[in-house]
Amino acid sequence: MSSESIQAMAEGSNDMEGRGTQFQILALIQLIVSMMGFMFGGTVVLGSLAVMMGGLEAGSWLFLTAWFVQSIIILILSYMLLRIGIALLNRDMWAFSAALYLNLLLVLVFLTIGGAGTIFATAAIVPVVVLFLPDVKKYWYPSFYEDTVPRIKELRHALYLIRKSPLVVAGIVILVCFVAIALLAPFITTYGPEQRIWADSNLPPGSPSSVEGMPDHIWGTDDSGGDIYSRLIWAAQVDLRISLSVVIVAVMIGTFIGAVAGYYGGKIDELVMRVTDVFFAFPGLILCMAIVMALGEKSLDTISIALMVVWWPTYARLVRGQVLAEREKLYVEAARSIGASDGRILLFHIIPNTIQPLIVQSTMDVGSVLLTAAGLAFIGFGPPAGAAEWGLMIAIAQLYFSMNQYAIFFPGMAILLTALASNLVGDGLRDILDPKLRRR
Amino acid sequence: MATEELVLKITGLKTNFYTYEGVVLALDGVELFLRRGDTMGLVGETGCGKSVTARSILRLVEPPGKIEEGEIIFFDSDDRSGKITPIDLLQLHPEEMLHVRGKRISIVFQDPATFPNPVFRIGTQIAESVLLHQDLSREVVEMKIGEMRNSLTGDLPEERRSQVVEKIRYYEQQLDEPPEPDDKDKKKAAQIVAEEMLKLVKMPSPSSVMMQYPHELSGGMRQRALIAMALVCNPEILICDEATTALDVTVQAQVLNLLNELKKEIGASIIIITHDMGVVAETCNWVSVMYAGTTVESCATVDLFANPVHPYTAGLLTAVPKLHDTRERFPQIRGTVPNLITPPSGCRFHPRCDYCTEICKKEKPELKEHRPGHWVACHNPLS
Amino acid sequence: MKLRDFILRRLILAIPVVFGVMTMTWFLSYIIGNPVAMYINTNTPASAIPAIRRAHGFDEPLYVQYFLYLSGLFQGDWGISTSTSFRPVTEIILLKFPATIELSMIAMIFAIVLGIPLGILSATHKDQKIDHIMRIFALAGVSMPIFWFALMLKHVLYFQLAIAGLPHLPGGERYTLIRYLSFKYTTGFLLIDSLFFYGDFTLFVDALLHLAMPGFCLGYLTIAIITRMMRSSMLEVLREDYITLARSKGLTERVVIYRHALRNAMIPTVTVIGLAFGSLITGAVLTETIFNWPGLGKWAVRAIFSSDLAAINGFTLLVAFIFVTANLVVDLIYGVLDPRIRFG
Ligand SMILES: Nc1ncnc2c1ncn2[C@@H]1O[C@H](COP(=O)(O)OP(=O)(O)OP(=O)(O)O)[C@@H](O)[C@H]1O
Ligand code: SF4
Ligand SMILES: [Mg+2]
Repeated sequence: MSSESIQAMAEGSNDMEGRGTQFQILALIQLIVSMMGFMFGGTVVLGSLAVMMGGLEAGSWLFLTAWFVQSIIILILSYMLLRIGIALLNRDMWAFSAALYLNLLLVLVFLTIGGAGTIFATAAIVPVVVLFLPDVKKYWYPSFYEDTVPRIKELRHALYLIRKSPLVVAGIVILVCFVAIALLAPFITTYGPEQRIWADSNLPPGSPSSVEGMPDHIWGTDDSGGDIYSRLIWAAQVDLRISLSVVIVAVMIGTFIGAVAGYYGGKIDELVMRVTDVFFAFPGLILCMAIVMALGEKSLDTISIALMVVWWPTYARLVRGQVLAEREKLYVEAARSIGASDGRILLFHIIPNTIQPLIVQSTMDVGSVLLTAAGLAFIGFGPPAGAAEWGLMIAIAQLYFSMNQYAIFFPGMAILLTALASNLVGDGLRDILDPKLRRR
Repeated sequence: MATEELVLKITGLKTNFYTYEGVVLALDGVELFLRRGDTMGLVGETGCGKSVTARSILRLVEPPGKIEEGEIIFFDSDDRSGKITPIDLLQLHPEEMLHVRGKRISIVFQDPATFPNPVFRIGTQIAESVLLHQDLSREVVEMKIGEMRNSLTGDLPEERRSQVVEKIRYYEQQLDEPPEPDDKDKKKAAQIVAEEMLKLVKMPSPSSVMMQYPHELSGGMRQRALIAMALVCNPEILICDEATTALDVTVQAQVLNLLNELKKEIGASIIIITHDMGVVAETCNWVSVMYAGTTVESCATVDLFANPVHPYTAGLLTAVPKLHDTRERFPQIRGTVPNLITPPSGCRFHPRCDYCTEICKKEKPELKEHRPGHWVACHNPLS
Repeated sequence: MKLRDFILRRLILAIPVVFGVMTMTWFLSYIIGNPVAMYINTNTPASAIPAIRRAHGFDEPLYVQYFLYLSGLFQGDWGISTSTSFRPVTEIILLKFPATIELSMIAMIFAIVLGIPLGILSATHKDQKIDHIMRIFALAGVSMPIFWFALMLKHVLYFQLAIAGLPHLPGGERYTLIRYLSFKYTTGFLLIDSLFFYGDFTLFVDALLHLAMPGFCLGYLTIAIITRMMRSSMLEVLREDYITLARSKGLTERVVIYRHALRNAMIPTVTVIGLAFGSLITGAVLTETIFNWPGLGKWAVRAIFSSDLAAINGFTLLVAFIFVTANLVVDLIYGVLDPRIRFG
């Protein structure tokens, strides 16, 4: 540790003697966020249990089940944040960086929930903001920075290598474009997602609309007069949201289960491994369909849940293997010998070292999830007909294949490009991050 | 030094590695010469470029590394006529280089754990070189004669026996001008040659080792197998890159003794790369010292131990602990090994040198014959 | 002797997986619908249903039902497929299995024959243009929505060509020749039956043409998987010390790569080939649907739409068994390729 950071710490402890109110406020906010998480998670979990048991009328309550998986993660995170909030009251050094990471994770999970989640996500970002207020920052930031310097250095090297590999850059550019297009959908589309002009059905690209005053159909129309270009862009929102949220949630569940299994070993490990074996032995698509059927409703939300359930074992396996290897290393021993708790060792020492393969795998899985979701929608397990979703658009256009190929071609290209971009990035990153392949 | 005595002469060898941090100037004007029949020690601190030199000789430097310039002259002597042809290995076509590697110059690497291919039997791996480089026609005929002789020792009806004797005579006539053998016979003969080689390197129970996989052998046995692989084609030069460092002390001694004995038998010249001065003293009659990618001193071993002339060598020798040493702290060369991306100007040793003068910082010293038989690269050599 | 122990141990490891899958199908059949449906058809009078419930033990407590379900599975009683004219699931599986396997095998052969050389090519030209092209080609394979690819292939190679009156590939089904109608299946694999049991070359070509499009469509995904794995394991192996040793012997680059590196690099590749079998079957579900291929995948999709529990369970179990078997085979191949784990 450099002399500056020691000095900074000394200053921090001076503050402790004196005022220290800012820390109490931080801790309070943290505790409130954690309580909020508990309330949200608890309501959804209990609510969806009630729906599943048939205790509540289906219908208006059904949204609860859609968030079931996320809520479990939120409950776990809230518990951790509760502990952190208490530790913040004691001004434990580790709690600050922990608060930073975990609040950001919480924000991510809330964002996968959609509209309602955004509000909660905003709330969860408050502690992060407080952490970076100058008064608070000078207490914890210097030592945090010290700790992350080697990682930042590595990151720089990785960024340098990324810049040098054209395929990764291409992938990133495509992904960024797609995300931007999805976000800008309201401004760049000419028609609404489910708007149709029946008189315009099956037009080739570039045709003007038969209705006076309506914009041209740049990429033509589908069988029911929907504008392909606009629907494609609206669908980007839907599809990207599904694949991103499924991957985020699956990564978290998988990491949690895999880390616990790898770290504690023994019976838990054995059990987790056998369960993942069973999941791998199942044909993924069929399992998804079965889960959707079991949930009783064919919609985007149910596909998401099904995909989350199907996807976590991959990450559990991955993280478990990594944790097993890391567990025996010297620095873990060292952390243990100074009395760090298991949770802290896992969270701060082991998991950060398993992050690289996780990044690679999850980047590639954004594509795979998208493909599977589109496949499910194609077979008829997705949203009801009429919704803007790539797989579904192909499924319906297929019926009018011989007269209108554009309605199939464009959505398929969109899926292909997105998935290809995510795979390009993931595959390239593996080359770059894998120490065995890396050029020294 | 008279050229006709030499088998290898390296001048001005430069090898760079193009890495993310910058260009590593790993070798910067290495000068080496190896006399026929000598055993030369190549010593220096870790990272001074000994392995890179060895790989450069065989042109086995892999990307991001690249041999930039220099001359590596190999004086190839024909087995039969003894005629000597100088070849510049760096100018050689890659195809022709394949005939040098493993046949004229071979190398034994440092780590016996990672160098044998794990999925092939030891016998296969040795026989591979034999099949590649040797014309086995004579061996095939000899093998056939041997087989027949063997069958003669058993019970044979008289009629059959005379047939066999007839055949032996027929094959013996072929010995002078053996016909091109077929692949199957060649493979068999190569196996026999390989097994002979294993016997030569004193491998315990060679015939069963032939059929074993590397992971089934101990470190010392694996190292012997690697030596057998290197020697099986009677190379002119054998390079041992820290061939004994990974082994424990007793095995190390055995392997070194083995090398010394084999040298007499095979008549190869040997380069032993090591940082162990003890090994040099015991096995080598010539020694070259490297520092940060340059050759700093080169002379007979006795001469070096008695009168080191380069300040670095002198420091290196006082740092060697001796038996019955009572010193509490070993003297060290002050300072640290330089970074080879931005090496010191002039003499690369100058920041650590006690005898450094102005010229040392500006001008790179050349390797010169300081006194007969003693080369040194220093502006202010000792004594 | 030792090999037997090795196989035995792998088999024992597979047991919990098989049980897990069975348990999961049982569980799913409860939450998806009512498992009694597996034994009822439209002709069953309502009055007979209680008797059927009793006969199949659905009145017993849950754990007894579970054991009855398992023992039923072991005895070959996999229920009745309500969506396929109420025939036993096992019978239909036997009937449709060859079609799917034939398709998957062709896809697999495609993939191995193309994927391995492409992967090597890519690895030996790392970061050169050819590597970039190979990688894009391979990654496009894993990124391809297979149903869309199938539709596009069909559009170009069948519709467009057919409209233009040119020779074209068949657009679906396993055969067109009417002679197949009187065909007596021996193995169920059309390629084998037509060639070896009938000796009829036109039939063989007809079957092969029908396989071409769905086979390539399905194979492309696997090509991609194999190419990528081959590339990265080859890259890893090429950095190993034993490759340097091989080069130092004076072996040509070709021998170094194809003899010394390839065998080592195959070890991880074989694993993904085994795993890829799983994705092939999943891919078959979509491909068969589009090419109207009378195999298990198309059957399974139909079964799901008509909530045909027995068929869904049957398909799932079968795929799981195939997967477990494939893994076992992979382990054995491992033993051949890598002496270090032979008899391990
Ligand atoms: N692949 C590589 N990439 C970058 N630099 C390298 C590479 N290989 C070697 N070098 C550089 O070349 C220099 C010489 O390395 P070399 O392996 O020859 O040392 P050495 O003298 O054999 O050391 P040791 O005694 O440890 O074996 C080192 O300083 C190293 O930085
Ligand atoms: S040249 Fe100068 S700096 Fe270099 S070793 Fe000799 S005296 Fe020292
Ligand atoms: Mg070395």
